[in-house]
Amino acid sequence: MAIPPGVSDRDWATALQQFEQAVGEPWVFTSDDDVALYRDAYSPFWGEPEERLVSAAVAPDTAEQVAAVVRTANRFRIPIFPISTGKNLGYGGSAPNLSGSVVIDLKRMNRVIEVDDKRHFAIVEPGVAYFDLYRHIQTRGLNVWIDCPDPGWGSPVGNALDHGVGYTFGAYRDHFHSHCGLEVVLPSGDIVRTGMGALPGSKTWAEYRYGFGPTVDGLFAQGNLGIVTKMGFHLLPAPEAYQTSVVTVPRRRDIVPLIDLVNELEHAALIGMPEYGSPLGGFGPPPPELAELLKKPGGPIDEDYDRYAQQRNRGSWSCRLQFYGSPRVITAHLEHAKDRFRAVVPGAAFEDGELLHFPLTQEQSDLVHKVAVGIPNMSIFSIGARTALNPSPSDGHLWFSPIIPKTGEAVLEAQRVFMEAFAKLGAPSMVSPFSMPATWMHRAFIFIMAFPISRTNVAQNRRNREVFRELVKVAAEHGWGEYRTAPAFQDDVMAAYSYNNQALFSGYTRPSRTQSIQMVSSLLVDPESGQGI
Amino acid sequence: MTCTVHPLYSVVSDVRFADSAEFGLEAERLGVHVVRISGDITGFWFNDLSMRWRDHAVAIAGMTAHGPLFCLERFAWDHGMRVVFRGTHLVLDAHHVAHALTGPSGTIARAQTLGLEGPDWARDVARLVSACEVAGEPSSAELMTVLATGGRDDMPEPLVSWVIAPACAGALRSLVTLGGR
Repeated sequence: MAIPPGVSDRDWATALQQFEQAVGEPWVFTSDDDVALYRDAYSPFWGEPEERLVSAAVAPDTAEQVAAVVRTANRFRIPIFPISTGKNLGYGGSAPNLSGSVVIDLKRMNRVIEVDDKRHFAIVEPGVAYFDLYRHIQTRGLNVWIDCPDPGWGSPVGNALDHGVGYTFGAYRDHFHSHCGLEVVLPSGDIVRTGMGALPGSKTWAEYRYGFGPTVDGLFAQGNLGIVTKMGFHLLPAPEAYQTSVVTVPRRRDIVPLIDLVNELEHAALIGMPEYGSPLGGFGPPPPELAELLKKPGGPIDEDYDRYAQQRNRGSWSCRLQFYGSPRVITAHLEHAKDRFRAVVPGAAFEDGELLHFPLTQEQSDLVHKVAVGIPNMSIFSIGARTALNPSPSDGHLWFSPIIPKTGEAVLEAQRVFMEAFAKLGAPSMVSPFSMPATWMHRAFIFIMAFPISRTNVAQNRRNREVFRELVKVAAEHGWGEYRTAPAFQDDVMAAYSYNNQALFSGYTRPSRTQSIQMVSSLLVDPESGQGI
Repeated sequence: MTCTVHPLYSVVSDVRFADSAEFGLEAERLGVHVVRISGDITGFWFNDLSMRWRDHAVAIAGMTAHGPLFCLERFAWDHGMRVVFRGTHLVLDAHHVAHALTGPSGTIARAQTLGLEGPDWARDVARLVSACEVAGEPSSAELMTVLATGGRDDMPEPLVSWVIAPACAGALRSLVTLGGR
């Protein structure tokens, strides 16, 4: 069994006893077999000395038990790292920032406290998975939707606290934005509630997020200032119907009005999450003809790309618009969207999907993108299998997730900058001239890329880490920062947020990730007084 | 926690792959409830297994691609369960399938007896996992199927056969047996 850094054998033994007293002996995990379960399945350091490993895990059942564990950790200066369901794959999984940490595994705290389908909110504990909340709603026939990420085995609390995102409508996709009220165990072991939750007997915990006085909730997301043990969320009223329509525009420069118009529709709440693409390709290596075109001295110009598209009788860009609401509202919004495009983008063409009424039939449910209609699922794990297009599936991936503006100009710039960066680094490009951003965020794009992870090829992992770190710098040079990242790269990303000599992150508001984060006790609490410092 | 006999609650067959389909047919013939998936375990998980595991741990087995096992194994960890047997089955060429097995020594010994040598190797694996020990000294074996006549013309995703069962403390041995629903 590993021992946390700087902790004596005697103190460690005493701490484990106190953990057992707090949560019960079966819920303190110290065997090699048990702690191995907390390895990051997608660790970029897999099998290397730098891999973040756990010394033990403790699974409390209540906020009071969490507080007791935190007090013990403080007493013996043991680093702790809370997780909700620990499924944050691609951003670090359940492994801690600091090797030797004790994981506080909140999976037993899996109670749905309340769901209200008249006022449209939920209050849940961190061990509740999206599947659990969905089941709670479905079995009771409640008239609300959840917004869930892909896959659906994660925790609404953990996902929101890492600024996770989803697929449905407006700001509901920004899971921290849609939170409302927290219960938090502080490093001192005190339990606080934020917003209206701070009012004993409050009737509006999950409806009015500010309460009275300074708003502190953000300190507990991607921060190390506490462990969230309850969280309220605004929920979307279940819509009556759903329809998609794919708009395709012919020319490369049409990306600018395409995105402007979609922004207009989305920010006015006329559509849900748009999904951009290009009929000409996307992420991944270019086909031979495109590769040849890209070799043109000085690079291709817009007319070259337009000719490339015309030769294939395809549009240059597309966007899948998603409409939610009553059929009459959907029809009106769709017609309005078509009017706007026809007025602004010559040649814009629409392909409408079927108008679907809820509840969906099984056949309809099988065909829709489930997360777009609030259904958690695991299907994303069935698409990584070896195929002719994917002959060597990786063992995992790391997400590189820079935030860029929601404009066509920014997308074209990101394509150019990252393609040049990959070329300069001598690495295979993950970007093509047709790569489009992810749109999970309501007000910004994520120009996301997945770096492959290998369990067996250490050299490849090292190389990918180097390239990843360089891309963080390249992005920062262009005003783009990552919105979340695995522990391996948090220092790199944090370094990019350097305004005024990194004044924001001086002191103790050090970003981290997952449930609410690694907490190095000695940074936060005076071991003598037990008070925060 | 002490080990008891853990009947197999279900066997998962991934119908995208002919070998896994054969595995499922044999498990069915042996009387085990078979869940047929096409890569996605969502339906099995959400409508069945998650509720069962919430009540009590029951053993399951399967032959799938890596993805479904990856998901089920992590769900299993949250319920105090582990993969106690794992076999990877890699089609090398038209005439050879390589098998790498790890699990309790008794099960591995039975695998060596079965041999997995002929075209019915997937059915052999179904028989193997349908009576798999869930504890015992860890062991491993590498076996080879040789398809002397005909051969095969596909190169599918490497398949994994597996047994997930309640984690056991100590060396007490027990068997996964049929018909646990």
